[in-house]
Amino acid sequence: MQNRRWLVFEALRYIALSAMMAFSLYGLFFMVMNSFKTEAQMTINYWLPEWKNLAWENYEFGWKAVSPYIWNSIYIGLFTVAGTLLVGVISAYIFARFRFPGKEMLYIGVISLMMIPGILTFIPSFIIVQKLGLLNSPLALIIPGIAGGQVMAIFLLRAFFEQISKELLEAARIDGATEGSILLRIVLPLAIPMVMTISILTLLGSWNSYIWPLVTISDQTYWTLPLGIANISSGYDVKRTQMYAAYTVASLPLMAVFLFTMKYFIEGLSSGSVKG
Amino acid sequence: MKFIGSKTKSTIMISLLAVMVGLSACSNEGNSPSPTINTPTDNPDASGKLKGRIVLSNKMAEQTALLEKAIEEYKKVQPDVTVDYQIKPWEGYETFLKTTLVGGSAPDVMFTEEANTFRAQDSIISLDDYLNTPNPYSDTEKPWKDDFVAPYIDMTRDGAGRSNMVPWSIFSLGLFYNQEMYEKAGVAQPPATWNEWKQVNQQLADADFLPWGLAIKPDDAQSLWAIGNWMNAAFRSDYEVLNLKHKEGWSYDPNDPASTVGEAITIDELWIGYKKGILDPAKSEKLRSLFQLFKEMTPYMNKDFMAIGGSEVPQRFLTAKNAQFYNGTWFVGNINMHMESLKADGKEDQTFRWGVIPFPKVGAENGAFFDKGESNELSGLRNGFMVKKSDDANTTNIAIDFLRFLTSPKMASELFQLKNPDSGKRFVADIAAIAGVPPMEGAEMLSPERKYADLNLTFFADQKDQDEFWGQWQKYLTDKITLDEFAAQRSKSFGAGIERQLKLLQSEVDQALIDSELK
Amino acid sequence: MASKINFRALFKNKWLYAGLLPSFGLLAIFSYYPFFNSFYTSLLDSNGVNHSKFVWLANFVELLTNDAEFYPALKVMAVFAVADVVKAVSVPLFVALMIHHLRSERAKYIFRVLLVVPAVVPSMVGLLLWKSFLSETGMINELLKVIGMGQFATSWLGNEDTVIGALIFIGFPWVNGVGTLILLAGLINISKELYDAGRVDGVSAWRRMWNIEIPLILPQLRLLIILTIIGSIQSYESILIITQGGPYGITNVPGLMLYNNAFSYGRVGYASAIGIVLFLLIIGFTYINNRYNRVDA
Repeated sequence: MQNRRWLVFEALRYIALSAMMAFSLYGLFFMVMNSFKTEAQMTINYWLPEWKNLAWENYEFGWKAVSPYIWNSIYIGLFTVAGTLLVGVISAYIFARFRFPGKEMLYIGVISLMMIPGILTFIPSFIIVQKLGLLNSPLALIIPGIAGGQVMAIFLLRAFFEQISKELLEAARIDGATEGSILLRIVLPLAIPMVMTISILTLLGSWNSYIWPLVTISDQTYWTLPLGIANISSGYDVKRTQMYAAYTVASLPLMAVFLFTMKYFIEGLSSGSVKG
Repeated sequence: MKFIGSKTKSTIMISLLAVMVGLSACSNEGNSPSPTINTPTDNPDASGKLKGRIVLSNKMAEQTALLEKAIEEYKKVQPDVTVDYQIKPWEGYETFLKTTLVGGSAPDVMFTEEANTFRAQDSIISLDDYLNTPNPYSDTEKPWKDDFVAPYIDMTRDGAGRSNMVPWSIFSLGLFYNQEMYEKAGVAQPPATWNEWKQVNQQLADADFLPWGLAIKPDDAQSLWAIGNWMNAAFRSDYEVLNLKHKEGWSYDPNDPASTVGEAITIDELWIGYKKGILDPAKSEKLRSLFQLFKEMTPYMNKDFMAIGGSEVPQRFLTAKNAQFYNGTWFVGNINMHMESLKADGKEDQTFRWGVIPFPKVGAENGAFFDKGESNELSGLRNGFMVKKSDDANTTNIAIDFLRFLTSPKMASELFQLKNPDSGKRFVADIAAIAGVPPMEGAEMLSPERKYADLNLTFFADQKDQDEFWGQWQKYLTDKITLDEFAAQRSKSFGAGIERQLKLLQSEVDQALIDSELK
Repeated sequence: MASKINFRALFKNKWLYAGLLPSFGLLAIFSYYPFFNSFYTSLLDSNGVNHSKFVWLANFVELLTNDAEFYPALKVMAVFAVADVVKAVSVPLFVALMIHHLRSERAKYIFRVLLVVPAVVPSMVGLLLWKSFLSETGMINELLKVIGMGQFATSWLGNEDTVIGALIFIGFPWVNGVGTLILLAGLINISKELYDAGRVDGVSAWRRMWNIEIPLILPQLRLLIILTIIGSIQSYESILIITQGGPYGITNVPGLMLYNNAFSYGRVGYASAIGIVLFLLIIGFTYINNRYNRVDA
């Protein structure tokens, strides 16, 4: 009888999850489906797929729009994530595990920055970047990206680190381990799901960022994907189908990243070591 | 938070705050050169006297071929000048310009659709001094501004009467209609006047078609264009009263298009006209009639005009949901492409016959104040170029010289006629604002010339006023407020807007005139 | 409880401060400086380029007493904020729990991936899609007609009674990939022993959720709530794209006012004042939230 109930619940979970995912994924389906239509086909048939005469030429345009910039987006994204994790993990760890004068005040100083509306600081941020001579280089995207992204990372990681069992860490400290190796060998492996989540969050932020690269990067060789894609729509008439094709191509590296990072949400890495 | 006492903590925080604010305040200075009068230097002859580099930015990809050709030709004429062409995406271009202008790293010559907000921030220069001197590249002795079709220079003027951009191309508006629906509804021929159009719409409605698809929201200015155009015509008999600052011996003749060239209603004249009640919506019978006139068509509009986006309207036309829509004539190309694409796809049953006519005119039968002629055809300035304000006189000179070269009638003619080798059609289908450029084949009837002389009147003062207009206009058209209430709200917003503009353009306003007129 | 700055303690912890230096260095340049600059700008009557006059708190006074748009916009923002929090907590929690309790590792992996995949679709595309769903001729009305409820079909975004509800409905079923992942990460950390103990005690799924899981992921839940409130108070982009504040200006929110004043009307000082007020609001809420949920050390 126990088994039956288990099966029923499991089946219900599958059904509910699949239904919800189907809704969520419609957007992606819509985008890919329309990338294979011509503008005219999309106008008269907006919702449903068009199976005959797939418009592969959209992908030709899309590829041309996107290929020079894929690499830029990739390495800018990777550096931003790496920098954010580096700075964020260290700071979060310090906030989580130690006590020192002014700790809470400093922490609030960091977190309150998340609360500043982005548009408010857009132009002053631009001027600072200009004064530092970073305009027109990838650093204009990476360094502010790290500065901004670390706030979220510190916020999320501090809470996570604080939940880790103090006894476990005390034991390691008594055994003579340095803080650095405790961080690397015990704390981080436990925090991998959260680290992965933060990586995705930061990567998405960097990947999709449009207005900031638009104003800071004039040299087309340093353009990122969103700029390249926006460039293929000519003036007053936007070719949506071509843009969708470009977006689809641009999303492939992201998909690869997702497939990779989602593997690390495995329980085995963390069970048995959290304070109950 | 135990280690520092709370009083000390607050003191520290406040002093830190003050220091930071002070530091950041210091760096705010020095952003703006003091306004200088731009005196053009002796015009360089076209023998390569200039040396330097300018940056040209553009957001319309279809113009790239033209601009690159122009740069190529310019190099032959001015070999020591480098023009860097930067194409930018359409989306966010204005944000890019505004941000880089503040920072000082903006391009020198900027393609744009409007220039007045930039001029208001003093980040671009006014071009009157240059426009009034001859263009060395046009081989005539006449001022540069005569190279353009006359009314369109006046459309570049702001509330202080200054011209802020060099016109490039013009749009004209047409009413697109579904020929098959016309036939089914028994419409014999397309309407030419507003009253005829009312009848046509009634016939369409009786045949269960949705006559007029449009959007009435901030992202689509169609209803504005119509009323603005009517306003110019309705107030013709008031022009002489309104245009207090004018050339010596000026008088207005509606049938002579040249009689309004060089004249403009500046912000002080606007204020006087408003205060005297002529241009005040609450007091002006004319304005109220215009609003009422437009409202006559609401029964024939799509019910969701407040929700639909401007770009969806043509889509609905193409899917045969609306019988008509009105927009720029550039749609001709789009619709043709759409129909051809469907035919190539074997979906000929989804195509239909269609046509485009000038937007129906209003005339004397719609109001006695249209006695000076019916409304002109709807057309306006589509885009042009503006020049960054710079401390470097040499860069400014090069920028102006390049623009003169670009807009010389010979060069402009050549550029506008450039054809795309893949499609055999012109790159740019627009009408040029430069005189003498042949229009595209098939578009000869869309002449930029105007039949009557019009001043460019407006019933908004600035962007905020315009934004407020939409809410008020929507309420009026859906009967949430009466005409009187609408006029009162409009009057308040308009007045507030003019006051804001007066403050902004303080140095250009003729306060003495205002005082004497409004005693 | 020392009442003056304890320099000895500061020095002892010098490595800790050094460790925080990179963070704060970056923040000082790229976050604090622009912020204080905006704070200064809010005290000006400025157009951002050359015309600036120091007006002390005049912008704030005008905003709080003389701007007919502000309070209605604030109300609408509050409605959206509450709705956003409900959406951000309920559905992701539900989904995270379901994924967490699946038996098959493979299925878990697949659903986790499916959670984030929608993020490759740019938000603009998603918003335009929803806009067309909600249009008078859109999918939602078609569906209503099909199931016989055609009389409810209306222009959802054009009708002042339905527009706010319609905007809240966007994104249905509100499976927020990253939010769910954050909760999932928290759930994963719950030790197996607790679950085993629960099973031995014969605890039902419902009680398991309330008594074990939710308390243990409370930090993540709180974080999610704070993040959602922060985002909601500042947001304006979706409104800018979909309704532009209409119809009749009903869906105007302070974030949109900030944007318009800064980029359309050229009143950068006033816009900064709006931004500062929003910032203070957010801080206020966060403080209340912290006070109310004393869970951290």
